[in-house]
Amino acid sequence: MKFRFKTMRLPILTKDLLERASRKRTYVFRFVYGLVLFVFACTLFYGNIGVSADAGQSLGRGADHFAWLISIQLAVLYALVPIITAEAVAGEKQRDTLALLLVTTLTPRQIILQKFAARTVSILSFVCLSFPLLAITYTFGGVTPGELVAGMFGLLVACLQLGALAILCSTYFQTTAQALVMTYLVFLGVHFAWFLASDSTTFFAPPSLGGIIFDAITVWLCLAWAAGVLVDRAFVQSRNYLLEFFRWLDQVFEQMNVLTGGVVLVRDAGFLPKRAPIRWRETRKKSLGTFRYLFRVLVALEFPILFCIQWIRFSPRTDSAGDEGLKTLLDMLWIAGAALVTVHAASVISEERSHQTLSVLLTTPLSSKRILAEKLSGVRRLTAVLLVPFATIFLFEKWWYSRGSWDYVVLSALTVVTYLTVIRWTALAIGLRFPNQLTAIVGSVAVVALWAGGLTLAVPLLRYLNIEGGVLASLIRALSPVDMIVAVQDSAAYGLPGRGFPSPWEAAPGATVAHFSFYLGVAIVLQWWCRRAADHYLGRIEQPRVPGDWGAEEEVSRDATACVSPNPVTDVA
Amino acid sequence: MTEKVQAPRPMVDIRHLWVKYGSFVAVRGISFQIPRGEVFGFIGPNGAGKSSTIRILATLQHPSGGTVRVDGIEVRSDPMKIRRKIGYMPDAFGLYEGLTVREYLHFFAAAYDTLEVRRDRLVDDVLTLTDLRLKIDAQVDGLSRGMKQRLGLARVLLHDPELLLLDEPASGLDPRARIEVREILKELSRMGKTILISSHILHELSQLCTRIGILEAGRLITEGSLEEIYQRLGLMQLVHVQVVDLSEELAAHVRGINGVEAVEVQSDRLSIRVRAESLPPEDLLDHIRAFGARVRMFQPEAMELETAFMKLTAGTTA
Repeated sequence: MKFRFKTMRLPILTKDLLERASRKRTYVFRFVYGLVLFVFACTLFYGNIGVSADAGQSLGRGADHFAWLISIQLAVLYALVPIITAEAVAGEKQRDTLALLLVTTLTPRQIILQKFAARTVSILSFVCLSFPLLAITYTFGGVTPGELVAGMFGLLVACLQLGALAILCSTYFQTTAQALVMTYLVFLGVHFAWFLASDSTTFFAPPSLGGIIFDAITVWLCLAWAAGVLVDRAFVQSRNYLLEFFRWLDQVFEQMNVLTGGVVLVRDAGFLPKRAPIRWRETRKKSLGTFRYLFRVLVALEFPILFCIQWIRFSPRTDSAGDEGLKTLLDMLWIAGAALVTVHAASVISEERSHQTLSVLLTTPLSSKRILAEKLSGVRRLTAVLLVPFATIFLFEKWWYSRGSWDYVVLSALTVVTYLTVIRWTALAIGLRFPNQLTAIVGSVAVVALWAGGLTLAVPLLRYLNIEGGVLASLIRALSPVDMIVAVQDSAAYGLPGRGFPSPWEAAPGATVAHFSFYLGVAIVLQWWCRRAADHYLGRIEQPRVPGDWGAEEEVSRDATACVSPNPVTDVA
Repeated sequence: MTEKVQAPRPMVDIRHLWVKYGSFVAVRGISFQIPRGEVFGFIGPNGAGKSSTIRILATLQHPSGGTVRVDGIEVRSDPMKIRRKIGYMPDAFGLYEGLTVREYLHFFAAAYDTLEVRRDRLVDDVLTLTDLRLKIDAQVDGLSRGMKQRLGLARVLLHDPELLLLDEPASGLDPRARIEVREILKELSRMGKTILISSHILHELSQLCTRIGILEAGRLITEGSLEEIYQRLGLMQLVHVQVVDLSEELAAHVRGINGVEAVEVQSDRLSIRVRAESLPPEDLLDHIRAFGARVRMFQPEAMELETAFMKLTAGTTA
């Protein structure tokens, strides 16, 4: 065996596997993943048995469980695979170790394949955890052996394809964050195109030979492409693609502007910083802070909304199709807005750490509170820009449904302001604690998703398990931000015959006040904690409230005696 | 009535400093002082505790034990006041991408709350000192490594700090850039700044520093001026002398001078090993001239710091 391992010459694979095996978080992740999966599966099975009075009734329900398990696993894998894989090559570039690999006798193809294999082995260990559960669903009946195999094969293929795409992005882009974002974007784009092009929903159909060949080709194509560009992309300088895109747009607009006589609506003059240097940099030098660039983000968000509004205006007011269109738009806006604010707020500090600029900033006399406040100015500006499309929808609905009272608009505005503020401070708190930008972003997104998704799914889950939630269920529902957003949205058309529900304020004013008070309280506590812990987590000595009063004279004398060097400064003869 | 004469307060006063990271001890009770206006060289192998000590002086890290004072102020008692007195340059450049040199310096001038009306002049001054005036509108990320290092120096000078903390300022620089940085530091020393500089390049330090501290495995092995360290170690100083008519008689005469240990006659010069404590280089020069030799070059070499370093350290880490 030893001989075979030597002759296989897989140093990167061996090193990566050893490295991952020596990390505690590998086991923590796997345990948490297994725990969540098994708890979810047991919940499904328990619900099934609990609902059925006799075992015969549960027969044939395996198909539902099977579909649920596969869907949940796919969703989790789609989230996890890029996170695990995007670092493979980009991480080597960031650590300046890729050049060392390239000067060995390993070919680019070997490097890419070993990197891919190392990550895939790790991910497949996650996939394999679900196989016993899938087998149990088979015992409930309703699942054919072909579907079982197809489901497992589908999971494996999803991992391999997404892993290969992530390896390609990791090779092409210079930072793990860029590789991660591009993997998600390309993946979503391809799936959206696939969704539009095919009307097939037969994911669990037994794999055909053509399908297997197609899947293999896509994986091979990604890996071959990655191997082909590995050397060319190894030493390319890191670029801010969003900023470059905006600058390209600048050029296009400037060329077009010749026709209009050089009219400039928004001019970002080259002012130098005055009193708030960090705010100046965040709002004038960042792609998501600069006004004219934010204006473009606004246009990109506002344009489809205005288009949709026009479409609804030309449909009959009694038609409820417009309601669905607006709801979909609002959902998308919420997802985009929450994601933008989360990523931006989580990055403000961790980005400084990644670029090694934080320590220099911390030795200036700027207080940590001020650093945090100025750092967040770009995020606040982004939030303000996001308020415009939200307001467009809310005000249009107010006008369109001819609601007399303003409670819908006020409550809607309150949801946006409150939740985005909570998200901003949550992401900042997480960004303060994590040393790495990618970890901070992933951690923040996970916390926000768990907060929103967990509270939304908790009550249906209790109901499914036939558990009398009672006060707990009421409390969860009262705290759920998604439920509040849906409830407010459902009240938009209230008053029109057969449409909408009373607003939360009309239905339960006390609960509504408690809900928003609670979240505003959470935002205040988070803000207080961030400011209080800022010195500590930023990494500098705290300024005592009263300069000179750090309660240390005793400590100094104690330290000085207790820590007398066992080997004091000695004159060496 | 007798007046009590107080010794001037040292700019840096470190007593029994301990730095621990969990169970790992990085610095083990070191003590030293840096008087005002001194250039103190901090030498030690990787992991010796140099950067930890500098980070504590820069108020970026709590000491685990002992006291650390900058200009009489304990770092934990009023770090904000200390931040106004120090200029810290880490081993990483810490430069913001997407800014020009002017914007970068104005950014930090604003961070140090310098008067707005003075900023243009200030930026101009520090750029002149670091010879970067022509690059004022260049993008920071487009500068060469040496220029980035000089820009880092320009930044730390913006608020006219009394103490400069420079962590490996010459690492990764080419010879020209290293010489340029060294000249700037000499100029700053002439301006009366107290400088604490850590480096691996011993030759550079020996040319620049008035005092040296050698740190190994978290312990300060020795500290003092170069001469003091040589004396303690009984080290030889090497002096290269070129004369117009190099002869064996001259070599024999030099060998006879009290304090000269060895003389090596090379093709174009004499390499003379002297005991630094008993024969200063200027006396040696007088002796050679007194013999009637016409001296073309007289170069006392500072390379013996390497010998001192090797003799004092055992290559261990904390």
